[in-house]
Amino acid sequence: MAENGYLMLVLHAHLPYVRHPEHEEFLEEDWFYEGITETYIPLIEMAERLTNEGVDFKLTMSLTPPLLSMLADPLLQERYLTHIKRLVELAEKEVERTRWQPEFHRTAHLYLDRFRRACWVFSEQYHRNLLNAFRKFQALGKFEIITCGATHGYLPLTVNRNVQRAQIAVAVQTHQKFLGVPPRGIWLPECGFEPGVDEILRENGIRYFFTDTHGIFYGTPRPKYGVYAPVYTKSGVAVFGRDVESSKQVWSSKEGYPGDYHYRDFYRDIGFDLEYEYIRPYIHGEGIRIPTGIKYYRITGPTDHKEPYNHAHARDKAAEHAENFMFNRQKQLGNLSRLIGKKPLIVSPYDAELYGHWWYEGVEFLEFLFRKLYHDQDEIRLITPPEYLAENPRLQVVTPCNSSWGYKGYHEQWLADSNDWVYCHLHKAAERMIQLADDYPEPDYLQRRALNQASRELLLAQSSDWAFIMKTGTMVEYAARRIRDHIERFTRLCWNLQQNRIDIDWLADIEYKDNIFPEIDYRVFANRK
Amino acid sequence: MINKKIVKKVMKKAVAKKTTAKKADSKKVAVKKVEAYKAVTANAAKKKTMAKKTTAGEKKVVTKETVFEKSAPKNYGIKSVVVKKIVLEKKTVNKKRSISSPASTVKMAVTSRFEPQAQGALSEAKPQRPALQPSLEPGFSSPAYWQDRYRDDRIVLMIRDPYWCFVYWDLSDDKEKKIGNEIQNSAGTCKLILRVYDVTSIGFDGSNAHQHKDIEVTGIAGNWYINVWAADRSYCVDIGLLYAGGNFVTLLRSNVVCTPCDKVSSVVDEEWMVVDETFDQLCRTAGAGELGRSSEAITKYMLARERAEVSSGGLASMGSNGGRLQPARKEDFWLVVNTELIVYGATEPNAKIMIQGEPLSLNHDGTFSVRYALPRGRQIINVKAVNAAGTQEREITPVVEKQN
Repeated sequence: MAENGYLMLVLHAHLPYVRHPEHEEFLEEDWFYEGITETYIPLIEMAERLTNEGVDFKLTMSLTPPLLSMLADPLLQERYLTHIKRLVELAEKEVERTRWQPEFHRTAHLYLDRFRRACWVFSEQYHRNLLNAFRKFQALGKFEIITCGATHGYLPLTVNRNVQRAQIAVAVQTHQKFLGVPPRGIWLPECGFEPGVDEILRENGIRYFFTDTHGIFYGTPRPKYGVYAPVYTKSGVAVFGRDVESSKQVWSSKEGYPGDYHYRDFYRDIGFDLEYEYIRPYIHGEGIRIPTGIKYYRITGPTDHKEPYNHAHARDKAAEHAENFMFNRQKQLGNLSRLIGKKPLIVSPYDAELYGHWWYEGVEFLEFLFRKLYHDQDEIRLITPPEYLAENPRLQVVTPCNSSWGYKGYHEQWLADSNDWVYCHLHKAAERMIQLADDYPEPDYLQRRALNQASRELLLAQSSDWAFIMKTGTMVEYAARRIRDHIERFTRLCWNLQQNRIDIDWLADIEYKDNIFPEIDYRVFANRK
Repeated sequence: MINKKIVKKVMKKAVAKKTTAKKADSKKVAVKKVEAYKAVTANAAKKKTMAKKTTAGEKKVVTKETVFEKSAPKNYGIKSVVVKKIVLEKKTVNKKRSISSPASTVKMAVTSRFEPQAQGALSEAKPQRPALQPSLEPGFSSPAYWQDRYRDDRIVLMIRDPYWCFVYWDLSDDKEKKIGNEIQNSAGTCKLILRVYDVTSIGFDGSNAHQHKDIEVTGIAGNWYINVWAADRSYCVDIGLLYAGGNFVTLLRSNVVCTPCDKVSSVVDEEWMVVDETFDQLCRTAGAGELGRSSEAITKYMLARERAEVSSGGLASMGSNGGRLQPARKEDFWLVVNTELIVYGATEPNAKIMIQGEPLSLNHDGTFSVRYALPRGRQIINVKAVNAAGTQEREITPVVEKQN
């Protein structure tokens, strides 16, 4: 069969900047460690295998500035190594403990094997810095790595252009610093778009971004090809819209692949299940039971009774689902190309952490999919945005509508009773920051440090994750604490500057704690002269 | 969300009613007043439960409780209710702080661009984070680094979705005084309101809006979710005083926002563009009607799908704390019993040891300990040690049986 159209797979990898050098051990840092073990390293290993075997594949992937900064941070690298070594130790014990339970013993071996490999990939192969791996596959043309907001600030609710500009400009600088090249594209935080943001992207040399389906679909004028071809905004930045059908097959809680009964159950974890004294060294230091990552059961069904997990069966399912995904895309592209009379493009974006962390077999699914697409068919061509734009330079001009990919498609996830209180503080701090940037064109050494730190604190407070967490209702206290801490530090810096009495020890302390964006220039917030 | 919203609205309305009631001082209204009060307490109770449930930011919870205090019977029977209320609110602001952060008291008295509160003993330092203790020299006042309010005469309008906007406002002490005076002078007939204007495609001058609606509010700092008329329209909001005769005086005006579209655009003019590699020259061409069919077909194709269930799961998946020993249903009593067996012992530190044929490493002092999950049935646990030279061995074989 001849080529019918294009498929663009996009993974959005992001974690908020969580790094607490002031504590020996910090619960929320585990998000990052789990991400490394279960998602980032498996993705890297997948790329490694496919590349070695000559299977061509293309993956568009955002690595947000906080994630880049954490991956490159020596303290977190050190802590991850401690973390993974402890997991290896636990898995070793588990292999012993389950010796008389063949139904769990195999799975215990699986974990031991994976943890040991993760440890090796992290420390030996990439010398503790996984950015080395991402740079490698970027250079090979396998990963098209794009950026995001500097701290994943939710742009439509910032109300202020200077803030949007700072979020984008700092992101581009950080991306360039860690990946060696400026980003060609961006994943707008939560796909949050409002008209005008595209102008800022263009100023920063960004050529394309993504919106949810209705972002393009409800755009003006009506998009001729729906989301099956990208459009240009008036400022000349290309916009790719999410395809609903392929999203639903993976995302949907009802009919999505990850809910298959053979797949691993996310919730049953030995951190909760096993005898306290035994598990205690591997849970939280204060003795609070938390997930360890070792889970022995499969989803089984809508029941409390869970059956033991069988990885071989789950893997077969992943292969089956990959086959099904490909088949559906072939059908979809066939229908669409008849409908629109040109080669359609299907854009399928997902949160990267869905794969591996949440959906344990997700990375295997991806690998099967890439293999099948390469070996078994020629109707679908995998493509990245720059390749598509090079082949299809002429696009319709459409202004996308104000939208996001969150709950209900607009801003409700980030603006609701549980989190609306944050905005008066974020807006006030932003206003103060802009004023400071305008007031201090030539600061002295200490003032400059205070000003730069103020801009870091503000950006950290702006992370959309805090509002998101408050809405979902888990770890709410931590999120509220973070906003408050950053705003307080920011306000105190303002006060110090205004009094021209900078508390240097305290400044050094928060520089050490909130050390993201060491090269930041606070003037990124300034008004245009 | 909607329920909460209603609760909030009912509550605020009830407060407003009460105010008017007292001013009018008529029996009829007095009955209303009592009803309103009932509604308030009922809702307040409901809300408190809700506040407890949500672990939402402590500040938020506290704010809500402050609202209850405002509407609770404290005000009852006070002549000049509104003025009194404002005084009360000042107090509660202070109270609120001591609730939200039990800490040392730091005096502050500075007015500046950053407008720390003008007066009052406000405490902000948190004992567990000494780094945040203000470290200015003694005798020097420092500001509260966390301010619940800024008193900066601000009103900001934000978009939630095509049909709802969110507005928050925070008035200065001057404006607050003015409102208090006006309400007192007008014997309570003048009201604080939000006036929502539809200003789509016009240069708004305060009087030329397509339409407007009023929402009665209380409180010199607050927020409101506004149900607007339609998607894809521009809105702005004034906060001001509405007098009995219908005269409206604006105190502050918000920014203008345009609500998102909620359907496919009716504009079908097509414009096409080629962006060259240098990304600088924009070449525009018009037309291109020869391609494909109309987008109607695609519209139908795409909109046949629900969107809510494909929203981003985002961070919700990280660090989930959902697990537990047994997913117990609350109404059912339950019991779980598991058994594990520890096999331990010691030999010469340089010996080799095997349990059930599997080699095991010894601790440096020659001790060993292995833990097994003990399934049902009989386990023959053969433990065998061989000395370093391989010339001697010892074997011990406990047998364990688990029934049931």
